[in-house]
Amino acid sequence: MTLLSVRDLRVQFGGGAGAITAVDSVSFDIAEGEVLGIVGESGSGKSVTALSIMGLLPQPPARIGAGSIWFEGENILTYSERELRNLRGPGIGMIFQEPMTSLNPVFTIGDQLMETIRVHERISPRARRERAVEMLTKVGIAAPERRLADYPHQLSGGMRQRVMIAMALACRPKLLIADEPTTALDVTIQQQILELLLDLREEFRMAIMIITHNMGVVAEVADRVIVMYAGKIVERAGVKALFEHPSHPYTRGLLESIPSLEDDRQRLKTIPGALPNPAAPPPGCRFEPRCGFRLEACRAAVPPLADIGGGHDSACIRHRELANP
Amino acid sequence: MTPLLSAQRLTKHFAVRHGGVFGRVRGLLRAVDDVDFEVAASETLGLVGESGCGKSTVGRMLLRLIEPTAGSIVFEGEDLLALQSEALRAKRRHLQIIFQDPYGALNPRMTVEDIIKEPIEIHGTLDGRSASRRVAELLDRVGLSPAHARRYPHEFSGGQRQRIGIARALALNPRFIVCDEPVSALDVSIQAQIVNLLQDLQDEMGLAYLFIAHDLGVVKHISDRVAVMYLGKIVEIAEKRSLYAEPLHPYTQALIAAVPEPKPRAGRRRSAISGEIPSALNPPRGCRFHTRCPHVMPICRELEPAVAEPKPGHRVACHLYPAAAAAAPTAATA
Amino acid sequence: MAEDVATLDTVAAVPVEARRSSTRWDTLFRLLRHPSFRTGIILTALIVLAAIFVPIISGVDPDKLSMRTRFMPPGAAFLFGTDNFGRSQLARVAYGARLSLLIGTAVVLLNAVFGTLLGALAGYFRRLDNPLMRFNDALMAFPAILLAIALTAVLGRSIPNVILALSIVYVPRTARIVRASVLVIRQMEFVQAAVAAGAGHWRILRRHILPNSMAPLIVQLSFLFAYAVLAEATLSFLGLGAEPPTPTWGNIMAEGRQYMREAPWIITIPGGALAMTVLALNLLGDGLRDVLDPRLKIQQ
Repeated sequence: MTLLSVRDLRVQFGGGAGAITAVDSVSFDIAEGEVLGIVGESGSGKSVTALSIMGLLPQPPARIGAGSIWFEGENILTYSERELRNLRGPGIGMIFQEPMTSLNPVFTIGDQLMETIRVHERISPRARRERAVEMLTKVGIAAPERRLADYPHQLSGGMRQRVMIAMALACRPKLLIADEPTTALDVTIQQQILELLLDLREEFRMAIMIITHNMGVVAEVADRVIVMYAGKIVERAGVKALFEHPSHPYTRGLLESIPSLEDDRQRLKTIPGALPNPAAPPPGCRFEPRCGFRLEACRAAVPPLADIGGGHDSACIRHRELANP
Repeated sequence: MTPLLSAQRLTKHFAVRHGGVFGRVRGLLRAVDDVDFEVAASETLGLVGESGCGKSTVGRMLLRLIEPTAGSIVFEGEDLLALQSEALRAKRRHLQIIFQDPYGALNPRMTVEDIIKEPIEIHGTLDGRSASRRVAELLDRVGLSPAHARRYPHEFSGGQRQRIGIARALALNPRFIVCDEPVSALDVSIQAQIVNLLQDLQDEMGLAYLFIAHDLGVVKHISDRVAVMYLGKIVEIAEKRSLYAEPLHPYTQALIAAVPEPKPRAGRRRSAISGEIPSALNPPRGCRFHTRCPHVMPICRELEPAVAEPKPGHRVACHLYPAAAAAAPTAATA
Repeated sequence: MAEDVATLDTVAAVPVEARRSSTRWDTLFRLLRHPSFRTGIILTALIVLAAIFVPIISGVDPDKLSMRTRFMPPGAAFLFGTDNFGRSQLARVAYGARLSLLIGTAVVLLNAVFGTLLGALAGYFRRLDNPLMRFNDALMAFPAILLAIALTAVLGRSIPNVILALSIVYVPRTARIVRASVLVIRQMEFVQAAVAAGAGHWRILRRHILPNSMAPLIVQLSFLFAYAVLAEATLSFLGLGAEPPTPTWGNIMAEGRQYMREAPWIITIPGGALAMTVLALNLLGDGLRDVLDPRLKIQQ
């Protein structure tokens, strides 16, 4: 059952000659209970995509130029502000990278948690408090009743992130969007948070869209993966297929440039160069200037994201050679 | 062989005051406590740990950007902490630092040339024209073009700014560079470029690095030896293969196990340790890790473990490995 | 070298067009595009030009008395009318403009020097911070205008004394702003890098800290100009500024007060000039603040 379906989404910033297309014809689906990982570096458009889905993109300066986003059969891009508000919470929840700035420093976490519940559900204050305590327990916070009276600055980064998760899940959303949820956390805490997300996903039958630049995290939690580069999707596959048969030079480059704990190479393989200028992207394939496999044809036209079999899509015309080096 | 740099019993306690500069001292933030390590010439010592472990403070103390509360830093036979102004300044030529934040590390009002030239100007090692030539040389060496010299930092990307910072650190031909999380703020594909650059420079110039990072993969790649810190203390230090293949300290084990590997696996991992990192204002008694340790024993709650050397070159501070000389927990000698 | 490709591509990644412009030009262009700043600077320029040229062009002596031309309303003969002594208001207001601008400039310059000195020392040397700031707070405890009044009463009435009094009153506020900037900049890593390279205090202050602390100071100084002009007018009005017949706006208004009924132009025209000047300077300051302040944060 497809829960979320993004079709040909295009988001632009600014107008006229200097307009930047941050997200260019991006399409993907998320099924119920599935974990989709979106991988990309800065400028890939992954965060903008997530914000568009939540309707949190300020327009202006952003402009959703084209496309549709279907959630449970309805195009939420056409929703009014009121409908969007009803959607957030019970429909889609979101957690962000920096827990400190996502929580209001002048309110206790109990207040913020109960506020979220109050907006979406008509239950008595006592029931709200019980639900808040229940959520804090679920996210692994000890002595939850006492924590309700704490302020964000009294908690550590890991605990704040747990509170964020509790707030996002307080209304039992069907889809959780997690934008770099563990990037700012220590690695041992990161492990705990990722475990927590997977446990909650099982318990609530919730789908998760996790955005990250960390391939290790993706390998840990995702069922399917999308790789984005300069606003476009360059590869889309199940997680095993992506890691075992990366079919786009960018994906391969990313995987090869990570120093993993297991391998023992002398030099890291790098992706030369840097991201293209967003206001003036290359003609043809956006990755072409940095690509070790480029051909003349790659400059001529933007290669389409094509199905290469087994639910695996790649936007590289030489994908076959990549799979069989 | 005498090491290039040797830190002994290095300690930094920050006084936490209430009521401003003249307020009463309410507590002590034990950021770094009795830390010992050495770095040999042309070697890279990796320093890993999580928030609050004190690794950045250690790095800055070596350059006396932060003044240690106690301990000694012996560089090429001289105690750096005993040096005063002129002598200290002269020594600064040999020890440099590269910072984590490529955006805060360069003065936005200075051109790239001025930034890289500044150390040379301060020490007067070269005159005007030679200095400019050296700047061009350095830019080329770090993968930028000499034409970039007249630009300003805001015109460059994060990776390029980091290269400028590296060029600046190299200006005086140092022997030792503290790399304080030099790639953490960069995109993955750029990290690899910078790591390779640092390695190349080390091979070419015989540099020694103290490589501070929280990414275990990067540390493993670039280091020769690795030290693991927790809450202000070094819990384990060893040659890298030894550390990663057979980590002895439970914290090191947990740290390595917690790193998500870019390889999908069938089952789910379970974390070995729970709980949060305690505050350095009030570190746990005895072994600081005991509150989260899966192998905690009664003695761990009472006594700080002494440093033992169960294998040559591999030192660990844990009651699971009692020190041969079971006396007071003094620092073991090199 | 295997990294040659990386080198080439890195070089190519920095656009080779003529982006060699220094940050200063960019700022200038942004300022000129800002509506408040544009209005402010045009008005200020007009006032300055008027102050310089009107007395020269009109050639009229502001002190020239004439019983024949008393209380003439603004008209063909006298553009701004005349006062009870028959003096040309145009000439007087124009000379008054010169004085206001002179005093404003002097106060701003003194603040720039001493405020920066005080603020930088307090912000940079931790041991000096407390004593300097307590001294600062003591001065700031007095409401500005009251302190100015007290000082001029003690020092005596003259333009240099007005300048001195106003400077003393405002330097603490300027120092505070500079100190705040210095405190922030001092923590930045490029300052640490300079220390690591062996730079001494003087070099660090001169090359690293002060140039980066300028933005809030410049904004403050533009507002300060406005305060100084207004404060001077207030002092003169209260009889504490330069002695008559010196034509400061305040003096003119003080004298013209009694003739509000018969000759309102005596008081309204300098009042209007004052208001316009203060407005122009505030607009200038707004524009500067909008353009400069966000750039204080090191941009991503």
